[in-house]
Amino acid sequence: MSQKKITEFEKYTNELKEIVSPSHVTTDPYEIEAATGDLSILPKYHYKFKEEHIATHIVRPNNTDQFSAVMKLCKDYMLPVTVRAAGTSCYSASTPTKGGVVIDVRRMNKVLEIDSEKMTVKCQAGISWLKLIQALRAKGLAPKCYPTSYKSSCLSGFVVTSGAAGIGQIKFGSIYDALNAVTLVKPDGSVSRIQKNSGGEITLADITGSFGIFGGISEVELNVTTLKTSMELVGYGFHTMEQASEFYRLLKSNSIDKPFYLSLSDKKFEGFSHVTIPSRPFFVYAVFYDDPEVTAKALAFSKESADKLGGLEIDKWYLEEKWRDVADVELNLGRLCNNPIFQEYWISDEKLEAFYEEYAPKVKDDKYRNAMYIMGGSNGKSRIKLFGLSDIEKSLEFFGIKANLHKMAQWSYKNGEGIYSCGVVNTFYYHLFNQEKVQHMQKLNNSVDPDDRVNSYRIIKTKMRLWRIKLLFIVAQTLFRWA
Amino acid sequence: MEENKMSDKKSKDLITTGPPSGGLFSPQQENLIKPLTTEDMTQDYLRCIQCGYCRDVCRVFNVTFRETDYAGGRNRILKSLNKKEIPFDPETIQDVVYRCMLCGNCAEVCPVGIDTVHVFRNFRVRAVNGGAMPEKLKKVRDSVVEFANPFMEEGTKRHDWCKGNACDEGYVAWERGVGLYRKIKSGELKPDEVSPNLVAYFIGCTSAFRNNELSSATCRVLDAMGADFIVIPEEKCCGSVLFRTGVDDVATELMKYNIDLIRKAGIKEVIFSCAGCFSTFSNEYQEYTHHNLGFKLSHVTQFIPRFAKEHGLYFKYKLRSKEDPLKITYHDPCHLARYCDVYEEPRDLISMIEGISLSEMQYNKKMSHCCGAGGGVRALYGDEATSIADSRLDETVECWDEINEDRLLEAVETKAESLVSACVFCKNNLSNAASQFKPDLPVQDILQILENCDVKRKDEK
Repeated sequence: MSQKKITEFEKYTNELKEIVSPSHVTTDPYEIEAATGDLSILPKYHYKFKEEHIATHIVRPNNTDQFSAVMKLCKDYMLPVTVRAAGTSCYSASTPTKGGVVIDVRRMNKVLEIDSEKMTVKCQAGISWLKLIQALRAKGLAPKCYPTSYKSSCLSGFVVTSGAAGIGQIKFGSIYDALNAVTLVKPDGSVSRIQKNSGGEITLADITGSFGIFGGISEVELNVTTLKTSMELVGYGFHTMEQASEFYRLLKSNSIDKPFYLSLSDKKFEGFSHVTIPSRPFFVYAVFYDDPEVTAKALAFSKESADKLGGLEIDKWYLEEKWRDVADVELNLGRLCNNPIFQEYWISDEKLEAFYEEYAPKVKDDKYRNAMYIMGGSNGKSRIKLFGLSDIEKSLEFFGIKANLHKMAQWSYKNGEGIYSCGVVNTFYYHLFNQEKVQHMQKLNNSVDPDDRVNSYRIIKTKMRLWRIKLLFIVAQTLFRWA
Repeated sequence: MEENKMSDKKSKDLITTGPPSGGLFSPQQENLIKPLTTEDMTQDYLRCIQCGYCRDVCRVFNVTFRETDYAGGRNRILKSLNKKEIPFDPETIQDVVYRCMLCGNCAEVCPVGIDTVHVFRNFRVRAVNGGAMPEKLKKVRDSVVEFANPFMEEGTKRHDWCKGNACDEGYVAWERGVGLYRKIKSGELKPDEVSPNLVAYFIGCTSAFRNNELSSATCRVLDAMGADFIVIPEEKCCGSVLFRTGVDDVATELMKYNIDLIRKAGIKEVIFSCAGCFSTFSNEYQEYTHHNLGFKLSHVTQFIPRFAKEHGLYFKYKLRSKEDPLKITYHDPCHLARYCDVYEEPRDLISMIEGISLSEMQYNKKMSHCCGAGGGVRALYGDEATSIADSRLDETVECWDEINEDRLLEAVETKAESLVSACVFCKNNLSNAASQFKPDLPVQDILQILENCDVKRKDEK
């Protein structure tokens, strides 16, 4: 029996190598250790399933044909598959929850075609944002939107996680709006090119936010925009969340020129990032990026609006520096503690104050080091990110913070809102509060992946048991308060 | 006035004309809060926040795409080993340990400022002590132990490169060196009586046994400039290859030998054409002596422009003219640049050569890409090294394409005419790749350019 298993393992290993090339198929235990999971720096045991499920192979296809052949082979052998790219989501989205083969798409990193007239780019899905931005820039073009993690993330991850907040979404829409088509490699190895309104069982809207449960994407075609000629930065401090939110909404809905980037942060967030910070407790920051006459109007509108709301203008050098380190400030929180904990929420713009009112008392007396910032998203929504700076060595605090974040997630769903990022660790929220989406995705998944082999335990299936989560957080918060 | 005014501080080098696309973490962001630090630098990997910035700049990762091949991935393995979550297997861990060029580009973009070269070099020491030494590396170690060079060459042949009319200037300098040591040994001359203007040229194993053209070129240039120099007759391997690969015990013995050899001759300044030797003296030797070596260290790209300025000299490239200069681009060797902070002097030197013009590649100075030869990658993983070098060559060609678009340089031809470096390993690795992929792009050491120059006095113009 054992001999047979070894033989079969070797057989499909060799077949994988024949498809891809021996140097891009590995069973090396150290590489599997490093590639089994995302870049999250939470302690390993926190993701219990990570120790339970280790990949057997890491495979790096170079193109759609190889990707498809690998998928087909995995189906033939009934091997579980996890498709991964840069792994920057930090929600364990790259974890091979059933073991098996990890297909790493980062070798598929080529720009295939840039059409400057149609303003489109076709590229392989594993391309890094940095590489794509640089390639477009050389042609006087730019992506319409990209994530603030652009310095380390890849295109494909942003597509399958919905890409609704980051840089450019308010002005140009989400990644879904920018998409023309994707090439989907389905769990059986078949390949489909899915366009907007192309019909078919799975739509482009299903792909964005699918977390790969319908297969992996190998190519992406995006609409892009031109490099603009003027950039203006504005920033105002406010005494209250109400004033700040109002100003934030005014900028977001301004029809003259929507911000290219917009955020609202509390003083703690700025303080954890920067040495010298704005003085008031709330800070709204916007970047306008367009032609000079348009940004000039946006600037005037911002000033007028801020004046009405009693906003205090922030020094220009600070605004410039904040733009330059727009990708780094979240990281900076990670530089200040061993285990930064966070949860992202997806909240309607008009409910920002309500969310804050619920959140503020929970951190009123600074029971733990905390911070909040809000990033403008598409479709009248914003991504709110709550941070707790802790260390797993202080387990009561660590789980106490998580319990707080959990309460805010419950509040969000009960108020018709939700969470922004969902990976393996927090899929249970979907099951608890978003049954409609779960059922829809389940139906599609039954059709394309009836064995549930590919990217399992995302959306339609939860790894965490709800009663355990609830019990854990109740106990944690009680103990934390008591402590 | 309300509480607003934060300070009169100004940020440096702000570029806000577009999306923040270029560059990774910028260390000059002085208003960012400093990260946590650790006292024990060998455990600095514990501070890694797994941001992934180092992945983009890692040339090895961009060829292999292996998660263990860039700094963050390797740090992850180190963390797991540290917590004993995974076993240390001397056989299978070798790729994790050695498939790194130790080029240090990851350290330049690290938001927490981890000294990755220090961490990974220490990892190699631990790995070697744990029995994880590749067979190829064992042969190198054995060769250095037996012959004091990594090429299995008899030590007595170390200076054959200049004998038998191969390089008269080198031979004369070697004879001067032999004479100096004889006088010191006999007591005819005391170390403190040695002229402070005398410099000693440390050849290095590669130039001595493989790339004689560089040792010869160096001696000819120094001679043409009128420098007072000797060749150190009994030098041994500096230990660079062993320090880089974690065989510190053997390297330390060589280090002690070379330091003693130079000190006892009263030499005040040692110059190097080999960036690897220069880096080893500047880092490991300096660290060992607590920065009290007792003699000055200069790479030829530092010494030559300094000497030329002091003596009113300049160089005229014989093969081209001021009006029709040879268009070169300069590749910063990791050993010279990121390891020793020598960025401007080579460029100063190039600017002193009439008939040569310099244009920069996209990635230069602190962000220069490695040639692919560093850290033992060339020796242990030849294919990957060639692939990395090829991408660097592509970049050279692209840089000239970019220059073409510049209105001010419309006259510049479409291709780089020469890729120039100041490191024998970069030259060899890039030449090797060029011979396969870009045969029309010559790769030279800066000394080979200088060798083809007339040395002129400025007042002779």
